[in-house]
Amino acid sequence: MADAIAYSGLSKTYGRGRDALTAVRETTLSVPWGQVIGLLGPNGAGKTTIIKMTAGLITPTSGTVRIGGSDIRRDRAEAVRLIGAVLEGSRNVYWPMSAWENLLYFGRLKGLRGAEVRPRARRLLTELGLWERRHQVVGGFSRGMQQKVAVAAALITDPRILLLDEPTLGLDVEAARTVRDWIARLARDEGKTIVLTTHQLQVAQELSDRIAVIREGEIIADLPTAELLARHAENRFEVRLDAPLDGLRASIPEGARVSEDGAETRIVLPDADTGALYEFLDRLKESGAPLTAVARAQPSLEEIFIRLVHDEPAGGRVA
Amino acid sequence: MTRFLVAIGNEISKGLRFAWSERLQILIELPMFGVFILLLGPLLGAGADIVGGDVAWRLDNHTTSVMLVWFLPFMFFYMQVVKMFWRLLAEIQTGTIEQVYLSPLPSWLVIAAGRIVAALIETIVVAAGTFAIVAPFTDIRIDWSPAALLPASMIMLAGTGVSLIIAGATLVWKRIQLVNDTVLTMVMLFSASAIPLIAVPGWWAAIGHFFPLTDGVGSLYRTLFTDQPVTDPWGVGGLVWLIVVSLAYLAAGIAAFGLGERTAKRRGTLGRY
Repeated sequence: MADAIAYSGLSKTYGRGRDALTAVRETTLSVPWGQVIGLLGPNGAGKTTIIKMTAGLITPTSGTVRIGGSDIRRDRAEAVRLIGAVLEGSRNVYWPMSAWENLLYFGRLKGLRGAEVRPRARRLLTELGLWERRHQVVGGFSRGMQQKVAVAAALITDPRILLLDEPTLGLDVEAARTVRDWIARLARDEGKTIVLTTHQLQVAQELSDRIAVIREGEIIADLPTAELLARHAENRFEVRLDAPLDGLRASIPEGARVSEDGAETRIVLPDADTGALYEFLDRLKESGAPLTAVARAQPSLEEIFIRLVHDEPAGGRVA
Repeated sequence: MTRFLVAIGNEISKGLRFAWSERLQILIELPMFGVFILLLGPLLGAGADIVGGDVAWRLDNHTTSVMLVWFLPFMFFYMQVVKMFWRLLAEIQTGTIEQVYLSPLPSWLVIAAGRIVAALIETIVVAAGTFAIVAPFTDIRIDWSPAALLPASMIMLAGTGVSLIIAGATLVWKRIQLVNDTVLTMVMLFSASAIPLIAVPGWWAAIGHFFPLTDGVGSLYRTLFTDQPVTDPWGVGGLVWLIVVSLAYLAAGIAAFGLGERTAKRRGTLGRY
């Protein structure tokens, strides 16, 4: 069975000559059915270009995109039938129309009949808490509600693949949480294949089975999320104090990293030598420093991401 | 086939939904055409009187009737081109066009066909309103003939072609309002050579054949005001010019739209303003 998404030698260069800008370079990657892949990268890394090439909205300079085995350029109709998308920087739905009208419109646009669309629209609007306001124009909704309508419109044909480009961008905390919970539910309960781009790395870590980091159009790391975290896990200890370091500096083992945030101090010991740890803890005890935590050091996805985009990739698949 | 019909119905319904939301604008536009005819009518063919400062402000039945046959096709052109341009531009600005392109149906169907039919329905409303405004001022005399359906159909095809050319150009260059206005003005001015109200030089009439409306209006004039059959092949409004020019504009429109679409996708600017 063909993968949900397969990129082969995918490249995109905008413009020509001296003004040419390569947004995506020779990307080859496959996403199996049911997987949630997070595409992470700084602004201008090529994430949106990849998403739009996946949807057939941008023509690649070279290479192919296959959706469920169908080439997005040659078998566009077959390929887009499998896709629903919420695109960044776009309204995605018509603001002068109501939520109900939007869902009916997009359902029919994608080849469904009214009788097929209506029950789905009802279910989606109910689940997203918009049923009572279904006949109000979307332009009058809050940003979070508009994004919910956009998600519902993307799901109206029950597509097997969802392309979500910054789906929580600009949403308040509560709306972002609703959209995030929905994405998690779609992946967990409905087995959707999801390509997600976001700058909120916590969201990516929470939702993605796999993370691909893009830098200047190149995939520099591509691993299952747990493996990416494990590969970058540090065999070190982290000690947290609820006090500034001040007079304790002399007690810190050589090579330790210290970061202070207000009254809190975080000390990462250079290796996993428990002897050194106990020795350091003894010194802290003697000084009466208020210890708040001792744990094995685990960098967050954000730390790993920053290291990857600024340095050479450490471990994992290097594109 | 059913999916196609559902999709066309869907686009027409959306187009009319937007037309309804622009009803105030249409209501403002509607009397403009009527007022234009009422003001221009007394001046046409009265050059000497104008120079002498002695214009009789009254409408001539025949002149006004011929003007209507000139103006109503132009209104169709105007509505097709202007509505297609502004609505497409609005979809590009808001980014909804990218969602429309995620349809498995052919893009000419979802982007163009529904909008064309919606604009046609709007035009009928505006044309009826214009007729209703002008009719009380003079006795409109147009001898209706089924033969007029041929030039009317060709005018629709040519108008569709021109709106597709504009749509293709809008996908690529976005802000082409000035081009639209220029095209529409030229179409109107050159189509004047098809009716015997304004004297135009020979070169003007010759060039006029290559504009999309001229022979349509000429053929309508022949059919509705003269004894000439619609099948006469040559001259202004001749069958050969009518069919060749109309179909050529339709073909050029389909090609230009496809080219514009491919260019926008290649440049990555489909949904970028």
